[in-house]
Formats: sequence, C-alpha cells, structure tokens
Amino acid sequence: MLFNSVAYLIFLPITVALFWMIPAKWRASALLLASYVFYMFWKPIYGVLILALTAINYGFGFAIHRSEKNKGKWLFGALATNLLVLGYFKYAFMTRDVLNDVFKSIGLHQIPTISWEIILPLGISFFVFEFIHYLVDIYRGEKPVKSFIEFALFPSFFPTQIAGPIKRYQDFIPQLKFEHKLNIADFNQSMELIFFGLFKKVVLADMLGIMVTRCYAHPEMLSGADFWLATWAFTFQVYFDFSGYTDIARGSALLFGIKVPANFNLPYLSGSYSEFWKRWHITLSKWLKDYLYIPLGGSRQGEVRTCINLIITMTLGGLWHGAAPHFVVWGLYVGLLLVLHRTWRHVVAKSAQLEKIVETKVFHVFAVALTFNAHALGLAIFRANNIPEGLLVLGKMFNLQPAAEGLANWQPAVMNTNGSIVYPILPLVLIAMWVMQIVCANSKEKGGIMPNFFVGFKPAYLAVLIAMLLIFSPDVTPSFIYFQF
Amino acid sequence: MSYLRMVFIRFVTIVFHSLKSGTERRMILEKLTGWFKSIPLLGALAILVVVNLGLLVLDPIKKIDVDSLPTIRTWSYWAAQDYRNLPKAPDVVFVGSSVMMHPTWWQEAAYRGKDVDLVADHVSHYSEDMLRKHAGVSNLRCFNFGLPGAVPSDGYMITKALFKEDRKPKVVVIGMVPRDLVDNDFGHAASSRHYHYLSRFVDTSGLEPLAVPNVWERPQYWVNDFIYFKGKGQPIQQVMRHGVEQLCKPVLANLPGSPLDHVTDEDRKFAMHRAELEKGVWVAHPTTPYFYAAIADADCMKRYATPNNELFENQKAWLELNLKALKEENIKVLLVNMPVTSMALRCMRDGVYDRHVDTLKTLASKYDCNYLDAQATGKFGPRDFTDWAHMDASGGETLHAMIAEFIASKEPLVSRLSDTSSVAAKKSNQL
Repeated sequence: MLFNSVAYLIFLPITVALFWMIPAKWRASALLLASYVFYMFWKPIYGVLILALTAINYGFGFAIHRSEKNKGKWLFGALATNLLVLGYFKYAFMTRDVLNDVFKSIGLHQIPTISWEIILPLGISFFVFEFIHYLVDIYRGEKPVKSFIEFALFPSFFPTQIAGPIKRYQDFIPQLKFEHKLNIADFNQSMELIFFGLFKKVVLADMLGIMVTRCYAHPEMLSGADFWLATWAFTFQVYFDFSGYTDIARGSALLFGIKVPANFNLPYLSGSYSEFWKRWHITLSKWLKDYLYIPLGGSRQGEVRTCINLIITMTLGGLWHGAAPHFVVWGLYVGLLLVLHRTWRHVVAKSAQLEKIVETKVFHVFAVALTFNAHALGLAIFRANNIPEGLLVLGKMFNLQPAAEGLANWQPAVMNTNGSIVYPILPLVLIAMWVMQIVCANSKEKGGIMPNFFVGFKPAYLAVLIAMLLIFSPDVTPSFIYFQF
Repeated sequence: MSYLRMVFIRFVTIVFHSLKSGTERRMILEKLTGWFKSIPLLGALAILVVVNLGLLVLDPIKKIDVDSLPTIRTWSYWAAQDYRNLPKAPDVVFVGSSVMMHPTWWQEAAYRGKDVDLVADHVSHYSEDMLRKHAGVSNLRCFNFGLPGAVPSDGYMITKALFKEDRKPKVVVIGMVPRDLVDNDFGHAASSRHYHYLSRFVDTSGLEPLAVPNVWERPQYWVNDFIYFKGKGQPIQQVMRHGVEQLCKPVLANLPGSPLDHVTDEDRKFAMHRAELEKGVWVAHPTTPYFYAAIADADCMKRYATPNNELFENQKAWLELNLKALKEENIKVLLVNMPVTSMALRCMRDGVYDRHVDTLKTLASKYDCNYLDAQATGKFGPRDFTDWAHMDASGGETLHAMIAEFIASKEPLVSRLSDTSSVAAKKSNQL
C-alpha cells in the first residue's frame, strides 16, 4: 500500500485510533500486526520472507553476543545470509548477465536463463541494511534486543518499512515502551509532515515526473536546453519524491509517538559535495560510512587508500540503487566527485588566499550552484535507461551531440509541449523550487517543514496544500521512485 | 447541482441559522478559533469547507470547454472527435460493441477496395449505398460507432453526449449480442473507458446507483461530486494552464513546436499494447484472406461463464434509459439481435439466449423501436465469422444489406431518412 493511496488514508487513522485505545503493554504487538498487514497488502508471501529473516537475524544476534571465540564466524554467516537474500532478489539477473558476458569472452559455457520470475520484495534493501547494522553493532559490543516482538517491529515498522529512513535500533527500541500519550504538538507536527510530504510527492514530484519521463524516453528528439531543464527537473523530482516519502514516514511514525531520523536537510543548499552527502539520504550516508567506509579503513590508512575507500563505498552505494550498469557508473561518478572535493580541500588548506575567497558569500553561492549541477549531471546517468543514452543526454547538454533535426541545442522546445501545466513554466517552477528551499532554510522550522511567518499562516498554508493535493491528485496512484529498492 | 451538493449546502445553512443569537455565534466562533490556533489542521479544514461550499454554489469552472481537457485517446475519443467533426449530423449511426464495429469496418475496406483506418474513418459507404439501393434514399451519411467492449451503458453515454441539437442522427441501429448484457469479464458501467471519456460531456449526477451498483465502490464518485477541487481538478488545471500559456506567450512564440508532440513510428508500432490508440495501426485491408481464431474460444467461455443476473438487470436498465432518451430526441431506433456462432451458443448457460431475445423484443415494443432478429434469418454461416463473436467482411456485407432491406420495408424509417430538412452531405473522400 502506498502512502499516497486511498487505502493508506483509511489504514492510518484506523490504526492510530486503535493503537491509542489499547493498553500500553499491547501496543508494540498491535503495531507489529499492523505493520505486517501493511506489508502483506502487496504480496502476502513476502510477509513470510520478512518474518523468516527477522527470526534468523534475531537468532544470529544472540549467537554473536554469546559467542566468545567465534564472534567473527557468526557475524560472517549472518552477513552472508542477509546479503545472499538481497543478492538473489535484487541482483540475480544482473549477475547472470555479467558473468555470461565474461564467460562468453573467455569461451566458457553460459549460465542458463533464469526461467522463473523473481519479484523484488518491497523494502528489502532497507530492512537488510537494518539487520546488518544490528548484527555489526552487537559484534562491536552492543547488547541484543531481548523481546522478539520489539525486534520484529524494528525492521517491519510500517512507516519506514518500504523506503526508510534506515533506523538505528538503539534509538528505536527504547521508544517502544509507549509510556507517553499523544500530545497536540506531536499531532500538529505529524500533520504538517504528512501533508507537506504528500504535496511534495503528488503535486511537485509527480508533476515534474510527467515531463522527465517523456524527455528521457525520447532523448534523440530533444535539444541540449531541453535536457538541462529535464535534468534539473529530475533533480528536484527525485528530491521531492524521496523527501516527501520521508516526511510522510516521519509524520506517520510521530502519530504513534515514535521519532524516526530525518533523511534530508535541504541538500541542494550544500556548498560542497561532501556537505551534500551529509544532507542527502542522511541515514543511508551514515550507514555506508559506519558499515562500509569505516570497515574498509575509512581515512585512517593514508590519502590514496582513503580515496579508494570513498570510491568503493559510493560505487557500491550506486549498485544498491539498482541492478544495472548505469547505477554503478553513477556511484563511481559520485565517488570521484568526493575524491575531487577532498583534493580541493587540501589545496585550499595550503593557501591562505584561497581560504579567504572560499569563505566569501559570493563563493558560497557559486559553490552551491556548482554542487547542485554536479549532482544533476550524475543524475542524468542515473535517470537514463542505459549508459549510451546517458552519454547521449550529457553530450547534448554540453553541445557535443546535435539536437534533433530542425532544432538548435539552445532551444528549449519542450516548453511548447501539450499536456501538463508544467511545460510552459518549467524554468519558473525550477526557480520557485529553489526559492522554496531558501525560504525553508530561513524559517524557524528547518528540515523542509513549512515555514511559519505569522499566526494564522499555518492553517491557510495547510488549506492551500490540501487544495493543491486534491486538484493534482491523479486517478491512478503513481508509485514512489524508491518503492522497490 | 447534484443531490449530494444540495444536501451539504442545506446542512450548513441549517446549522448556521440554528445558532439563534449573536452572543451564541460569538461564543462558538471564539471556541472554534481557539481550536484552530492549537490545531492548524482544523483551521485548514474549516477554510476548505467554506471555500468548497462557495465553489459548489458558484461553480466557476462550468463554462470550460471539456473537449480541451487532456485525455487518453481511446476508441471512444476518436469516434466522438470524428462524429463532432462531420460537416453535418450523420443520418444513420450504428452503435454496439466490436460485434457491430468489425463487420462494418471490414466490409467497408472490401467495398472500397482500399485500407480503412477505423481509428480515423468511421463512415460506412457500403451501408449508404445499400440504403440507396433498397430504400431509394440518396445522399445519406452512415456512421460506424461500434466500440470494442461497449455495453448498453456506453450506448446511453453516446446518446447523451452526442445525439443532441443539430448533431442528432435520424436513425440509430443498435446491434446487441447476449455478451453485451452478461459479460463476466466486465466490471461496472463507470469502469468502462468509453463511459469515463464520455462522462465529461454528460451530467451523470443521479446515475451513481446504476453506474456503480456496488456501494463500496461509490465513495470515489461521491468525493468527485462533493469536493470541488477533486471533481473539477482537471478543468482547474486546464484553466491554470491556459492562464500560464497566455503569460508565457511572448517566450513560447519564439520557440519551435515540441518534438514530444510528434508521434513517431516507434510509438505507433507499440500502440496496440497501450490504452491510447494511434492512427495507422488499426487498419482493415480489402483483401484479407479468411481466418478463424480458435485461440479466442477460451475467452468465449469466460465471458459467458455465468448468467450474471446482476449485470444483466443493470445493463438492461441502461438499455431502457438509452431507448427512452432516443425516443425523447425523436430518433428512430432499430434494435438488431446480431448473429451469434454455435460456439457462443454452447458457452451460454441455459436460458441466457432466450432471455436476451425476449428482452430485446419487449423493450423494442415498449419504446416503439423496430426490431430485427438477424440470427433468426439463418443467413449467417461459420465462414462469416473470424472467431466466436466477430464477423468479417462477408458477414458485414450480409448484415448491412439485411439492415438496409429491413429499413426499406418500414415506411416510418424510410420517410425519416428521406426528410430533407436534415440531409447530411457526403464527404469529399470518395470510394
């Protein structure tokens, strides 16, 4: 069930109402049941999968904790189990294709076709990552969760089940005592988060998505200017889609008195690519840092090794996003940008003059624009259907590839497209989105929640959000971009 | 306004007037203001209720041209556009499902000796010439409004959307097979794509019980009816777009047309797999060799799996509504019991076919319609069909000749067609 569906609009209030009506000692169990109902709404059989993985990891947790001499082996077995499950569902076809390409090139037999359907279970990447975090932290000395109900609720908690944020059990489990009541401040904040999240998804992300999908479906037909607009649009689309989802997740969790971490902090206002990854998909960045980058050696083994670790971490991060070569290329690109930024920082540190320039506001504006566009160019590869198309798009954007016949590369002819309201005003929409970021940053409440200019503003603003949601909500519910990760 | 809107407005008016004194009203307002300050969502909902009420009463969007709204271009879209673009209303319109559409279309291609694109070309010159031959009436325009999957509720929507004022035909020929009333693969009237498209031209208020018989499926329609922003979402977007285009005209005028509006050959190639139709894909050729698609027999069994009494009663009610509407518009109706294959008869449960024929006869009598039982003539054989349901060119040839002869034998129909006060001009694209 999607957050922007009628089913969820019915499911959530009923679940919240029942939750607060029952005694506190039963609430964790009730929430667990609701979470499984939510998960199995899509495909019931995968509820069995998540339950089985939960039971296995619960056992592994105790095995690692209790073992004196074989902690490492237990951890290895646990990680291998989780990664094999993830690998099977997510990467089986890709692995087969890649291996066959290698085998073909060296004259070996091909692996037979996988003749059965493999459907990716919803949220598998997210709850496997939460299991891995749990197991590694126990290996590092933390204590396992005793209650199976509480442990089972950790990966399956329905607001964060499908697309995060990736939680830490040390923060999540203590909140399951439910010793407090729902207060008005939490209710207000959750409503703001939910409606603002829906607005970002339904009105902003989906509106941009119409245009982005059409442009990237026909790269040969458009100009460079069209693709600058489409790529910037996609940059905002993916941000509003994902941050909208996260807002709804956080708002929904808050209705149960549970706080889950924020995942975005106005990332497009970052002044560097390193800062960007501290503001974008924050929980994934932290996970990659704690469970991949640091175990690889982090920045403790010299500059060259640090750069390699960064590239490996981000390349694998790219692979996590999708089982296709262009996601790997995108991850590699991100890693290289981080290395580039790291190098730049070293250069700046050695020059007092450069340090002065870098601290100016003018440079900051330039750095923000540069970071945004560097990220956008990477997303051109991410969004394309494959690497050749991604390169075609980039080629047009830099005038290395011609536009379609009868069209100059500087002409944004896509603005004349019939259909959605977004086409003729796309440049204005993109500017408005930038302004929105700056307004949110300067308002009292940060993190993307609506600003509060004066008393009475919030009801009016909420009314406008809801009205826009009703006007722009489609007849068929579109999915979130991160729906099947 | 619909009855739901009227109920809502009445309720709010009663509540407001029931607060008798100014002091009472002030106290209530102060309490409400307190709630709204502490819970902004309540304030937002209050604002929306008031604004929604105002919009329901004023309905500022009602003047918009619904034809300018974006839509998926389905069969009904193309047929309706072609119908509306005719220089004058056609004289005879053939309505029904693909059972009517196919033989008319295939025979047209064979008769003309060239390809006919049914997405773009709905004229039946063969029928026109048959009517001239048998009824002695010339200069007629016959229009093929058969739609794949159509059921009587779609026929009603066609009537209400298009057959009015100066666009009224003189005669409507409705071809029916039992599947049209009992199709087990069909949901409810409002779930049909044809209904969905045509409902933008028709006031469907009051039709919910028939359009959505299952009460659990109705809330979506109530929401569209009752919440102005939701029900009028598309027109509001269109108004916004129009305003934006006017503002951006100076910039847009200097840019070339968008390449995305051009339909490529690649798009056309995969058109069959999409809900949206393209010209040049659904083409009848004049010399297609005979074939029979036995692979579709399983579909026949599925369609006639049960007598589907609920759907039968529902679609029968729609058929009655349509016949009544046509009568009120003074349009002559010929109900045709279309030929069926022995395969279809075998798939039908006991009594289904007899019920179907009795229903057509009864309704024809009740609404002063003419009735032709094409199946009973025995003139259609296995070689007239390409699968369990659809006839080909030879079946179409026999069918339309039969219809023309029948019309010629009915004086009221002939004089109606001969009425020169509304003769349709023949289009310039000749055979």
